[in-house]
Amino acid sequence: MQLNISAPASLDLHVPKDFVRGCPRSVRMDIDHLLLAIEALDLEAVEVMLVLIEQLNLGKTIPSRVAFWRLRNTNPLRRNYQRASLSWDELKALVKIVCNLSSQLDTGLRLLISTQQQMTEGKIEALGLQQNQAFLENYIERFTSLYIGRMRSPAPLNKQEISELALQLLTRLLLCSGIAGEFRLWNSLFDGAIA
Amino acid sequence: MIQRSYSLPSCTVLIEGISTGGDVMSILTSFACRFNHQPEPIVGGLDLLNALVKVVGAYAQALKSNTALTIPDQQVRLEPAGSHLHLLSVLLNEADANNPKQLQIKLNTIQLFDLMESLDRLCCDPMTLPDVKLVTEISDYRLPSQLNSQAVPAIAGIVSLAIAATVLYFIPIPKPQPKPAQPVPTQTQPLPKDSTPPKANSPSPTNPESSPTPNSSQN
Repeated sequence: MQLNISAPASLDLHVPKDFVRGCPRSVRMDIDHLLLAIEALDLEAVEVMLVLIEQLNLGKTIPSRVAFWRLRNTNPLRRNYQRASLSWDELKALVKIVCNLSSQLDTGLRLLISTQQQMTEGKIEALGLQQNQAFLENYIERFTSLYIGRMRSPAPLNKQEISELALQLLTRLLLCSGIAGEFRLWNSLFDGAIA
Repeated sequence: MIQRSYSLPSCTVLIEGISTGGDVMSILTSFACRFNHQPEPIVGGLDLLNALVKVVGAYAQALKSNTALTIPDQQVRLEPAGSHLHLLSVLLNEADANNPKQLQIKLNTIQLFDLMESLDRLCCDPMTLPDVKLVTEISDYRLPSQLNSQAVPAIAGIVSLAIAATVLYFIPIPKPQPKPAQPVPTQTQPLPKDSTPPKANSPSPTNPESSPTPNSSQN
């Protein structure tokens, strides 16, 4: 009976009333970091995202590859930041893309998060899961190089902070991969944001 | 009698209830939430299910925002225990006051996600218990003390500025003193070119009377 469950339409992504000046800075940073983490998990992700835009009927909001690139450059930490902001429709489109892709990457996310836990508990050697550790290290390395390549230089974070951000983003992606992921992600973006 | 189950890799929620019409299960008789790593299931009625949905939903939402949050509830508590673990404590048998039982389950992030997801699927399922709603708004649960601790520095700054302004207000403004009458500088003769300039703190070797400098004449 649970095959046909989809998120109910009554739960709309409603724009918070406090943010009259448009999409806050921290939200633009957050959503771009999540997209970057997806890219680090799957190197083909950008192509998948462009296909997804068509599948999810988001072509009106994001008509082309360049438009998508412009949206991602609304992150104020980006090297090519043009002082542009996101409209609410554009933000909704990006939230949909993140949630859709994270539910596709669900298995990988579970593996990496449990590997991270095993590493902090020091169980990798005993369980013989060095290969999983290599996966996690690869992910952090790819995220770091993407981050340093895309963000302004000198980088806003040092290497240690970037790898902490990468690990934290894994949990966030897992939590928005569920059936109500869009609502959870949407609400978490505005939690603690400054108008 | 209808049974519905929502299963994820590490957690299964089994719902039993009665329908009053059609396929929609509207009355809950009991539910059981079973974890793979824990032999004892969480069993209870509608109150416990609502508490679980509320606490787990809000906790997971706060976890994503990276701010720890514990929701006050009598029956269900969920709090962080270490960097990757979360402690879920549930008070079972609320109705039977003689035999209350505290069930404690340690969940890692993935098990917590599975619990949240199975409850979310239940909330989003229009065919099962339409009254059980998803919890994503957590601003109501934010502790007021958190806001206070943020406001204290700002208030302290404004208050100290006000105190300083009041104190400084009573200090009299110094009146401008009349300038002492300055002697009109007299035109001095330019120095002869061969004479050495007078050195500070040392008597000049030449006769000071014969070649007064502009400085000495002004003072």
